[in-house]
Amino acid sequence: MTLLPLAVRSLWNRRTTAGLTILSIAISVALLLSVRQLSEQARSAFASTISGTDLIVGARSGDINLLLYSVFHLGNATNNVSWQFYERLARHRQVAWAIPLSLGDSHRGFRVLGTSEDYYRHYRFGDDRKIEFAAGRAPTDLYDTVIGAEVARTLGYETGQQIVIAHGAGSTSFAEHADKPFTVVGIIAPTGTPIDRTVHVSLAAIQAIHLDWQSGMPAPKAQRVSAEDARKHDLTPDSVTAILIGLKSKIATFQIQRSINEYRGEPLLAILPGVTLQNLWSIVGNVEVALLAVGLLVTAAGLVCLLVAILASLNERRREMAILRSVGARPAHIFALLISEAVGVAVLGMSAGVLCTYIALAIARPLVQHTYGLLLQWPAWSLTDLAILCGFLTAATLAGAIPAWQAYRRSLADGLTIRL
Amino acid sequence: MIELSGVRFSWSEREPLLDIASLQVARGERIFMHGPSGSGKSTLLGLLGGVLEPQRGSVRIDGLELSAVKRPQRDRFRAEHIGFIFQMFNLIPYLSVLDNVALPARFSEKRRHRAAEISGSLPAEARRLLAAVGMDPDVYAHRPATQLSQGQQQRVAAARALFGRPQIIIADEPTSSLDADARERFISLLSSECRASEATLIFVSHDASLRSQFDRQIALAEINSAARLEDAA
Repeated sequence: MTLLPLAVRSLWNRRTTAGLTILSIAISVALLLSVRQLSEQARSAFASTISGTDLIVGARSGDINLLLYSVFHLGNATNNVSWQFYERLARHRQVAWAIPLSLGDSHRGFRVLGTSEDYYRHYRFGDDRKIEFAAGRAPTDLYDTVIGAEVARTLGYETGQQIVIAHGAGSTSFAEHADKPFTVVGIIAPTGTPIDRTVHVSLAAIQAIHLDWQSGMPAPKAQRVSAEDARKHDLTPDSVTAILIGLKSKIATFQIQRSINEYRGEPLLAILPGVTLQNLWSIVGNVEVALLAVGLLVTAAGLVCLLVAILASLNERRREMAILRSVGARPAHIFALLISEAVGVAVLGMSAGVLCTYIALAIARPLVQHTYGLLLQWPAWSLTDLAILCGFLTAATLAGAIPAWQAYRRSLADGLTIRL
Repeated sequence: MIELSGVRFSWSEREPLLDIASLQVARGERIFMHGPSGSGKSTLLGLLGGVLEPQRGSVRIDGLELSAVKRPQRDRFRAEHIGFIFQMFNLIPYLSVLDNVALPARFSEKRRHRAAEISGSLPAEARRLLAAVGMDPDVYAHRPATQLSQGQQQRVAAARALFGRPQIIIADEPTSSLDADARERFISLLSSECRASEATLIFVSHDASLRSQFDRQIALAEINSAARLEDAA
């Protein structure tokens, strides 16, 4: 009770040094907490990008590659799955639904996904959430499109907007399907998944815009097919990029997977999304461990900073200690004074660190959502975070005990004489 | 009453710094203790304050055998019975003048009570003492200690030593940083305040010219046989 005001005023007297120490602790604690929050959230966001889908089928490549391009819309497929196979699969007695996915085009940097109405009916993400519309409806006409929340937000689109799809997946494209514009008829409510960054059209539309294209280039003017004429063509696609399958019974999953993988008609690959997500995470997870290690080291550096600041102040405060001793402070008081100072600085630093975590998250949120389509949540503090903070406080107290012990010993030896 | 008998103290094992056969100071006496620097003055004050422990002999203050009690008790005894004034830089830089004067109240309940009894409250007593040592409390009470001149700081230190009426005031070369004029005034102020609070004053200095203002003069070299041995060698 008698010491606390003294400790506070002593700290205030050295506010520049104390402030810098608090700042360094804040930065190190914030780094550790943010790394943990981000990896924790990335993990759950990752795991919730797709759910309810039993198998993903694509051309034979790597399982992670297939997952990346079919679900995360990252990278490109090396090959396609034939439409005949899709039809066979969709008719299979074990298959409840099969969603065809056709990728390859883009609109101003956002991927265009050609799919069927089954997508809006059966696709699930997160905790069994289905696609819901913030505005409008699912596409019905050939040139209808439905956009993700992030697309709408970034480009400022509303329903009724006319858009043109570009050929290829780059963010700038010189070859556009300008002759067949689309109308935005729906905007999907934010999902926190790559859906937010996707422009959805029908499979037939993908077929229609490529009718008059030959090997990736628009046909000469004479052979062009107009938007209206395209409607008269047979718009059944030749192939799709990937197929998402829901089975009637989960028990059949492995059997179907095996039979697809062993299919002789074309080289195919069927993956279990959950298992592949885990494999993917185990790769990303190593980065997480490395980041966490860096976070811990930086936190240790913050503690050393605290220690150095207090140790460095000891010499200039020898006189102060002797004065306190002369008016009756016991060596235990001196010890308590220095410990409370270390704890005070640590607590202030940690509070500032928690605040910094919020600020860092506020900055990272839009960036991460824009780049990866992952919606970061505000920190959900877990017991682990609490343990980290408690551990840090304990470490700070122990670190503070070193100069406190030194001052204690010194105040015993110095007595009342002020040695300089 | 301060009584030392057969006290022996050394910092290192080999030679004693202090070897005092007998020293007695009566209650309320104002003693001038004279000794050149390095003669063990500060060590003697450490022994009186109970901060240092003699290797041999006894230090008794008001009947309490200091070397017989444990360190925390000695610390409490010092807090309650002794006010210290040092050579210079007596004040805690981050506290106001008023808080510096009232500092002993943080560590001694007795002095806190006594101060409150005298003037009604701790700040009131601190202001009274500031006025008594010639520092206008209205002007100086809330100034940071660092803004005072050396002479003013010493006067504030005197007010702090007197705060809560300790029985003993120990002043260790308190005037060496002051000019002659300020020195005279400081000493007369200190003695009159000690008289008013019936405190024993032990004033240590190497400057023998100051002795005239005290009841009794003790030359440390005369009572310290260790110093004599050193001189002989």
